[in-house]
Amino acid sequence: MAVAELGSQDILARPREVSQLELVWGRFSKHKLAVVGVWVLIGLFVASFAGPLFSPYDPEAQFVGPIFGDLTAANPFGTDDVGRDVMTRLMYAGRISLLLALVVTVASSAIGVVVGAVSGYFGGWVDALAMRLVDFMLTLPILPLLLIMSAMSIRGGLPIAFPEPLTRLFGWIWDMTPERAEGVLILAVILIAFQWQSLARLVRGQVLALRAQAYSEAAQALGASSLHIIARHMIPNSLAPIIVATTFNFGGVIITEAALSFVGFGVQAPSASWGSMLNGVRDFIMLQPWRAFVPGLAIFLASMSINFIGDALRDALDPRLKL
Amino acid sequence: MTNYLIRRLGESFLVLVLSSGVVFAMLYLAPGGPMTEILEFRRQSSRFPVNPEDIERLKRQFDLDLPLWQAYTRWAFGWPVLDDRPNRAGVIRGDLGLSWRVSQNEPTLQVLLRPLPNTLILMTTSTLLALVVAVPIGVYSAVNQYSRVDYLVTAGTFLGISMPVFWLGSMLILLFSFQFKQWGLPYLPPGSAVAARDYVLPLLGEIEAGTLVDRGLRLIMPTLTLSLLQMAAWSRFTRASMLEVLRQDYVRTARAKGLIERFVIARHALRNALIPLITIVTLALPGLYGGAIITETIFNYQGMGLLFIDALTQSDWPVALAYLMVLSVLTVGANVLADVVYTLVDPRIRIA
Amino acid sequence: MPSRIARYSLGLAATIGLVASACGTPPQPIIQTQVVTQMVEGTPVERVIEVTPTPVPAEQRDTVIIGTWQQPRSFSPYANNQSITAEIDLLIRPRFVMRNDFGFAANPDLVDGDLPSLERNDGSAVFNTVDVKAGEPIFDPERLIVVPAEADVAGVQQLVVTGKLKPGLKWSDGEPLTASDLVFTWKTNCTDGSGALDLTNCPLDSAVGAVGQLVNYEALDDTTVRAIYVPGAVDPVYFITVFAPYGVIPAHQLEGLTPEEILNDERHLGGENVQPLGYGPYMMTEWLKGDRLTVEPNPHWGGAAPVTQKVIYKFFADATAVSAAVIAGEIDSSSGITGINVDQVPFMESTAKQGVINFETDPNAASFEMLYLNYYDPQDPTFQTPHPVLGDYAVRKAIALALDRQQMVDTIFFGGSTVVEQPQLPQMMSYDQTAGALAFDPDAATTLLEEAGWVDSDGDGIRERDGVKASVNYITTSGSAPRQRAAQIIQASLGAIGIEVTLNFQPSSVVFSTDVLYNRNFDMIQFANTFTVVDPGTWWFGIANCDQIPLPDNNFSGANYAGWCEPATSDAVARAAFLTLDTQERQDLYRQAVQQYFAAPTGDAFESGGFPLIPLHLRPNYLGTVPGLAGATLDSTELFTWNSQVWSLRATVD
Repeated sequence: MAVAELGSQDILARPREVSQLELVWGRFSKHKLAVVGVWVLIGLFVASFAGPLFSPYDPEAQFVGPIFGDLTAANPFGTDDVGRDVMTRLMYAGRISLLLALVVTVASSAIGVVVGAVSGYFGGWVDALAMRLVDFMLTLPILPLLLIMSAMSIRGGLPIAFPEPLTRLFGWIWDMTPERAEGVLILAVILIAFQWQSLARLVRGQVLALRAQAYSEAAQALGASSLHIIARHMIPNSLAPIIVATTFNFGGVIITEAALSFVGFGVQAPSASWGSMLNGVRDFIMLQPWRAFVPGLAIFLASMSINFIGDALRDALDPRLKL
Repeated sequence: MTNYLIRRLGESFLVLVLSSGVVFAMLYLAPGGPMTEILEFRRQSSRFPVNPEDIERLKRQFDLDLPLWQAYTRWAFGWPVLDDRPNRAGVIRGDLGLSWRVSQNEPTLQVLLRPLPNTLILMTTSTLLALVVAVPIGVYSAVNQYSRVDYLVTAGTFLGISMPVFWLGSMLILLFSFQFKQWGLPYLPPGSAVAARDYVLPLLGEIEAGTLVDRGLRLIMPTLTLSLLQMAAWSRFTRASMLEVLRQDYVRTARAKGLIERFVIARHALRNALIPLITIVTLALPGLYGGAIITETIFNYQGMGLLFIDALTQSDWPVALAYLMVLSVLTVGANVLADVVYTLVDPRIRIA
Repeated sequence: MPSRIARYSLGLAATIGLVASACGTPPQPIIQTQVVTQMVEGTPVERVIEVTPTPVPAEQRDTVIIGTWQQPRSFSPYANNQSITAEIDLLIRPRFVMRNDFGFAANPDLVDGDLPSLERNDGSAVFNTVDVKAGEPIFDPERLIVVPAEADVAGVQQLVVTGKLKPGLKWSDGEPLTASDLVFTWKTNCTDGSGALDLTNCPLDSAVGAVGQLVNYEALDDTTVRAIYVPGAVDPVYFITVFAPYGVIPAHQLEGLTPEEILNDERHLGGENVQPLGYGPYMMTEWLKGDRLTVEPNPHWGGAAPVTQKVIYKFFADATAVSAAVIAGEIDSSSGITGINVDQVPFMESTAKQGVINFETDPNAASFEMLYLNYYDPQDPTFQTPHPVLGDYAVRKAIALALDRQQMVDTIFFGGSTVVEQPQLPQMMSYDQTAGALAFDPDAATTLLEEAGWVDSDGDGIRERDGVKASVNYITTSGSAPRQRAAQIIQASLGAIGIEVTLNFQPSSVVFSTDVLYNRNFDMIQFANTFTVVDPGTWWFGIANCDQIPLPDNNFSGANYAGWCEPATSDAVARAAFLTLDTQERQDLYRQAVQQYFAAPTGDAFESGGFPLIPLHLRPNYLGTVPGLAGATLDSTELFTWNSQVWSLRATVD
């Protein structure tokens, strides 16, 4: 009897916990590039957030070296157009780029998931409304919006106000005044506003398919609330595509911010993001192509790692795949 | 289906009205506009203060003195008709107005049509190229998941996704235009859709301006830049979709029946795997009209993206608005089309 | 007729062909001596010169392509002030008065004889003494505007200037170009609805906003024009004004149309098959908007025939694309005003060293960057409250002392520019060699701030006084790398003396809008002023006259954006600009203004203190050309196409 008791508990409890995690990790680690990606990403985060503590330079201290200085022991990545240490700036820029990407991706994914799940689950007019909202957002142009936001910031009437502790916190992380941090956060909000639609469509599609399946109807029959079904069944079962799309977006945000820098709407000097640093050397890459590789490589590594991770997670989280 | 379409189109119309209103309001509120030049002149010749009556007259000419909603309804529907200024039929009746600055006083529609062929050529070639390369690559790497080729392809596509366009474009110019020229190879012209005069390229000889060869040479770099990005995204997509399908029961069944692997893939898997790709491609269709701002800027390719950014920086709101309106219509239309196509090719999906 | 330009180009061209080229190796500058015959005052003189021939030519190319990122909007001579239009105009509608090298000269192809002059006493420009009846226009020396005289005034000086056109001028369609065309343009310009930007020379009541400087502009015969000024008014550049004050449009084409119709006519705006009509060495034959504009020799041009048979203006997306096109040989030339940007300079210079292109820098272009400091608090919509920080003369002076402008020049322009020491161009007649310069002295700046009570009491690195933090914003245009650099250096330099600067980069449509500049919504703002006419008159009047302060009352008109108002200076610059033509007197008046520019406020009138703007540096001009292009050269005060008719392009042999 005792053995049977013990056995039943074992069967019920232990394999569930262990195997799930082990299974996922096991599958994930099969993707060797993804494992490398994890380490690279950790490295980038550590370098960006802890690295500056070991740098002898202030990111905004000018003329610590020559203008457009070469690679030297004192300035391993050279110096920029006003003689600042590029390596130090690269680390601070990493804080902005990585954190911006993180905030935008997480927030836009959250919005996308909620909108998509609710829209797909309830259907009818809720669905129509949500999807037309998506259509509507897709027709809005980002550049004129940024132009107007710029003008509004001068007139002093921005429609978005951030609580001061928040701007202080980000200002502290990014080593800038709260006002400047607010500018970056506004950029984040605009990026979020233009980023969630594809995920919403994706999740909606998943939920539509899941809802038609038997277990969803069973749960409804058992009297589970809609919220419960969405949170417990719909979203977890759509997790694989959500995670893939999210990791894709993470890299996308860094690239989009770089593109906005190209047209003059990215992070503003003297702060820098990887994108704006890359754009800053645009006219010098013909002369010294390596200048582009410094911020370019950072963008590339971050985006590449997160994509590999997403790729591996998708494989690892796919319930149908039992390897 | 018909009912669905009617409802869907009705909803889309409302979306378009709403979005045109918001976009109109944005530009109406944005700084700049037709007043800029006269104000700029005032800065330079202080002897000549701008008279308020001049400003009023200009404002009246461009409807800037009206409340926002009235300016919008006049632009969109040609209503209300006012006596003290020129009236137009409204966008709804196909009157997109006259350009303010990009091509002063020319009908906006005409301004839009001019760069359209260039953009259509560029976007179609790059989209087709991307598809032709992406699908086989995606399929191959899905079938041979975790093989060396798969890793290579994965790394390659992520390389494509992770490269900012302007960086890639500049690098291509550096290599194919400048270095090739120095090495005495037939280099590629760094920009423009068509040459302004005949030119000589090493090995290729004299190239006549405006010929197919000339246009073709100039298409290479922008096409490469654009298609590399799409290629990367679409091959990822094909791979994922293919992997998904390969794990489905019917594929296993087909394999279990002893069918040849190649047949299984071509006949059962690929067909189903491409369904989601069709919708993705459909959604990319408006881009054929919209062009690509950054690529066109870098390669000075006279297309729609360049026109839009030009209209935006010169505050030519009628042109910018018209461009955006057409793009909105196409975007919303493509969404409807994508849904319809989806139901047509995938019998499992029913739309209510 | 004295020949100003030495004519040895023919001899030069003949000898170039003798120099052999080294095939395959990069072309090296070959220096050789040459004996040429030069005409000096009508006598041939033999002279030995050194010539550096361009790499050896194969054949003469018949097309020259100029690259630009600007696109002309309209060729209406009076309703447009784009530099690209001016540049193309030099090909199709050259100036009557040339503006090369900080001077003025009659264009010998269009003007008969010399420019009108008061000094020559030949009647070309005279002051008549007239009696003005009540109600007739007269220049009010107090208010500096033209008004109807309140009562009869006797013995007022009236300036009358006569200009002679060269006989036989023709439009490119073969019709004669006469004085009546000039008058027609002037009349059209001075009519409501013409879209004209400048109404200075329009009689009162001719159009809304007319300034009234001229009472009449008339054609005495086919080749003679006469400008009659309003009694009491003077004009330092009357010799320019008399010739086509607003350009020339063809009366034979446009007569009978309303000003609105002319403004919107395809013959200005360019249509499918219609181009603007000109009278220059070239005529426009094609204008494909967004792509290119072509000019070809005008068969009716009376001057020397152009060497090159076709000049194409090719439009580009931005300066980077233009410079890439020069280097790749797609285009043959581009200038710093409408094409190449300072950020391409290092690459252009390095390719020039390899002999791929020729690259020229002119550090003396008539344009300089400046930093305006607002005397008033922009938060107060009525502009009555002194600016809490910049309202203090000590702070403004400290800012001037704290900026290492030489370092800015070295960093931003890689040394290829010059610091400006006074708020004006060094070539202006108002420039005072004896007045002080703005020395770079951060220690003095610190002392000045301490003495004025600005101290850092809470240790955050930023000074305060009476609870007000020394913190200001700085606005400039986005997307301009030189200004971005300038902004960051200014921020760091002022940070070093305890003044916090918040940078704000905005698109130029925002900076030059009622949101920012015109309604004075800034603490510090940086932009440049380019001088098309190097006369200090309107410039000094704009920055120093009290009535030129933009305020809600005057509809925010005027260029005194800082709000500097020192009554004596205000009067001095007004007198120098509008009431006297006496060079000595004008110089004395400007000397006074320059001194006041540096001076502390008098008494409690904070707005009388100096340093309304801090001049930073000149903006250099650039010229990039392919090696085969001969004749193109930069001029500090004229756009580089001024001599395009002598340009010749030869295909170089690789």
